[in-house]
Amino acid sequence: MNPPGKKILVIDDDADLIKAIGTRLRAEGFACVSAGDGVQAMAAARREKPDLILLDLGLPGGDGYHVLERLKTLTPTSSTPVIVLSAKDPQVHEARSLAAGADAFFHKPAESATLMAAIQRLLGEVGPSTP
Amino acid sequence: MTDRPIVAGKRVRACRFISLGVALAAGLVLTGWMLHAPTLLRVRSDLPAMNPITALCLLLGGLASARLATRESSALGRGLALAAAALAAMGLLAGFPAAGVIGDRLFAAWQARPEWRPMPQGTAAAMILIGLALALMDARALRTRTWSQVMVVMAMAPSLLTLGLLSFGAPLRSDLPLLQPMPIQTAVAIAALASAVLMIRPRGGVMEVVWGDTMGSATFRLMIPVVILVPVALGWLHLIGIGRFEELSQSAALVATLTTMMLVAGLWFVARGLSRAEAKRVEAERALVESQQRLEMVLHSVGVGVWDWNIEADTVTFDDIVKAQWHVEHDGPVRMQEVIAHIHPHDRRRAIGRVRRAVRVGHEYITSYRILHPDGAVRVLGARGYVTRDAQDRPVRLTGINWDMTLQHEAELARSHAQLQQLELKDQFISHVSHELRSPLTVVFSFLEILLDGLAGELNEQQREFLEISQRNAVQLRQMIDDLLDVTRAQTGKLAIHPRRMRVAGEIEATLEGLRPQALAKRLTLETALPEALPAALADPYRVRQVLTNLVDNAVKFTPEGGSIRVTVDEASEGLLLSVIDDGPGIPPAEREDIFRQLYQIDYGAPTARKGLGLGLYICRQLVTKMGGKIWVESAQGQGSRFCFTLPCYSPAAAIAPLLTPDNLARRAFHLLRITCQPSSARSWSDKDEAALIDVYEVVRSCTLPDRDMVLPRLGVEDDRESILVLACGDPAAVATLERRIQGQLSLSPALHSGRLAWIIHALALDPAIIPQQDPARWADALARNVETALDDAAAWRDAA
Repeated sequence: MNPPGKKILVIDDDADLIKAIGTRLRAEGFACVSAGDGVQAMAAARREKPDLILLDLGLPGGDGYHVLERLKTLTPTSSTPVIVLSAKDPQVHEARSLAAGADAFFHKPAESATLMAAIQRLLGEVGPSTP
Repeated sequence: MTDRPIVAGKRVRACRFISLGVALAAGLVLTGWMLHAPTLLRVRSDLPAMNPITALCLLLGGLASARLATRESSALGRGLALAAAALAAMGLLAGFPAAGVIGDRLFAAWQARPEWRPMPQGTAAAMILIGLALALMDARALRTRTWSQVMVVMAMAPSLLTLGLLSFGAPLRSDLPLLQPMPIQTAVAIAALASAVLMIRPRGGVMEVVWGDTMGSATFRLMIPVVILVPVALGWLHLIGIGRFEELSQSAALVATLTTMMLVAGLWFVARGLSRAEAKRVEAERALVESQQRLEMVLHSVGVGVWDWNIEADTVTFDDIVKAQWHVEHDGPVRMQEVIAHIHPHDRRRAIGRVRRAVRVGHEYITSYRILHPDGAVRVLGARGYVTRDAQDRPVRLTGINWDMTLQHEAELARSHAQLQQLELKDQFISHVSHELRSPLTVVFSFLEILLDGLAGELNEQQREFLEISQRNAVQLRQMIDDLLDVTRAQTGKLAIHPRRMRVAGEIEATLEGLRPQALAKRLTLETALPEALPAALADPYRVRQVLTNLVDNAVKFTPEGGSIRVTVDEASEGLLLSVIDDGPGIPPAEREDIFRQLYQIDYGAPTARKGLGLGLYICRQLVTKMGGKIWVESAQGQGSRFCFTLPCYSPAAAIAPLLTPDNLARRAFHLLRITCQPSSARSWSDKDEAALIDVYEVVRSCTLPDRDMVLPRLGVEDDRESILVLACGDPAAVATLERRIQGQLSLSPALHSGRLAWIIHALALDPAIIPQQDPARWADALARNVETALDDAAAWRDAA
């Protein structure tokens, strides 16, 4: 049902959550890579060239916005859709992250059905990007 | 009785001087009599000599008077006075030939001495009266003082009469039956002593008139010598042989003397009338001055200043306090315009408005404003003014007070600042806690979904049931955390509402769709009653759904299995009326208001219902109120509840009403600007576009001038586009400036992800055909119709594009 081989990068400092999201994504037929902090995230993004990125704003050792900005300015990922997945106050951070270039914002905990729908829509919008 | 000395004033010294003078003269007469030196007893050899008894009386009286003049009360003085009176009484009795056997015996010795002639009755009576008056003299009792003064005046009468008769040339050896001739020196001595006694304690009593400070008293004092001393002087001149007067008949002299005395009495009455009237006036003036001093003292001590504006002359006068408060340097009245210049520019318009309204229609105003001192200091003044109107109801004066409330104001500011800071801290804390709680909850939530979706293997029936219970509770936990955040936001005023034109029917359907699984689980029926053509509401769709979810969720929780829940919408006077009706247990009347309070939970004893923080309805009330509606519950116990809330209708006419001020209407120059936004590339509207549009709306709003321009409420996205309308008031040049400003700000705004939304600004002409030329009252409707036309135009433009 999903385009096979689409790769999603999950950036979050919570290993348990990475495991949960990874399980869900793999069940939906996506390939999943993960990163636990900003440095790892940038390295993984360059190395893996993901089709979509799930980003947590509260990363250790640096602001999630900083990562978002670099993802959106550096060439390999500048056109990759980014979904921000954060537990922070949406009243403040939804508009701010969208302004910073994110394509969607989800407040944790989000229903996986709606999250998956957003992923599908964003991947469809970008069109198939074969590595 | 104390024997305290009296502080010697001029009058006391004069009194002592005269009294001692009389005593000395009497002493000389007595000495002369004892030494048989008759020259000392006579003025002229052919005039009668002073009786030695009289001389003794005068000596005693003079000493008594001198003593009493310097003491509040003196036993010695009284004793001397009483002795003089007794002696005079004896002298009087001795004069009566038919005093009876006792009298004859008693006065035989007296009568045997030819030089001890009986005292003339007038002299005796005068001395008795003076002696008694002196004995009665009391510093404290006004009544005895009055009586003693009356007696002294009466005592003066015979001596004055004698002097008067002499003055008018009557023969000294009188044939009057009642009045034996009084020797002239006796008459003078008695008159002098009586005057001295009158001077002893003049305050109060009948002599008040003579010694008072009033004009009447002064005139009286001035007239007395003229009326008395002139005839007396004439008499003396006659006596010592210098004057040459015609012989007058005795009766004519008596009439003249009595007339003089009556003149004195008449003068006294007039003077008394005058002094009483004057005393009253003086008393009233003193009371006025005192009350003014008291008032000033009070005003000074509480720091209240008084000012007075004469409206016609346009002069403002003020006291020293106001001068200091307003930092006015120069003295004298100033014009109102100069006073107003001291008011802080931000408060000036409001202050002038208050004063103007009070002058135009009212009688009183109360306000406060800031005063800008030249050194930059700002004081906050409270002000209260009263308008005085004349008979034609025209304002004449504006009198008012100012008081300094700077400290109070600062304290209030500090308090509210501290309060806000506390709330801010709480907000930060809860925001942090909610974030931290959410992360682990997300993990729980995700794995529950994974398990329930069978991604970790097939589940048996019981495992599925248990996991579903866990999931339901996880959802509830998430709701509680959301509520907690919203409550904190409501308290810090950060509950964001983005109202726009919206259809409530769609929101209701969507909400119910989300809650249907829970209703099905309890076998509840969910129904709606939505009229076909409902006007659009002006509200935030996200918040409306939040309120509806809360209400329906409550209804599902409290309605017993198999019941029904109905959601209805009606048009009401306040806008749209949305109701959620259940047939649950109902709400006791006493709790119908309480349930909208924070942390309030009704205890039904049903364990299933007791989940939640008790914040849901509180948040609902905050949200509905912020959107301009009301929320309440109608319920009868045991017959279910009906939760109602209202939302305002979207109405361009109502929205633009605040802009239609008399000033703006007088300009009669309104323009519409339309900013149409759509995604720059061909794609459907997304959340990101929605966030960007909120930014666009805020940027446009920041470009408008309050009172002059207005951004109309958002129309809502239709066909992936939305138009923001600005109603601007001003000439075309001003509108062009506004357009440029919006264009510039939008392209500069860092909040807008450049290139995501495309916007086009159009100036729309208002249709002159529907603008009424004469009736400004209909402008609101006309403009609203124009706005509606503009909406249609926007649709047409869309179609063309």
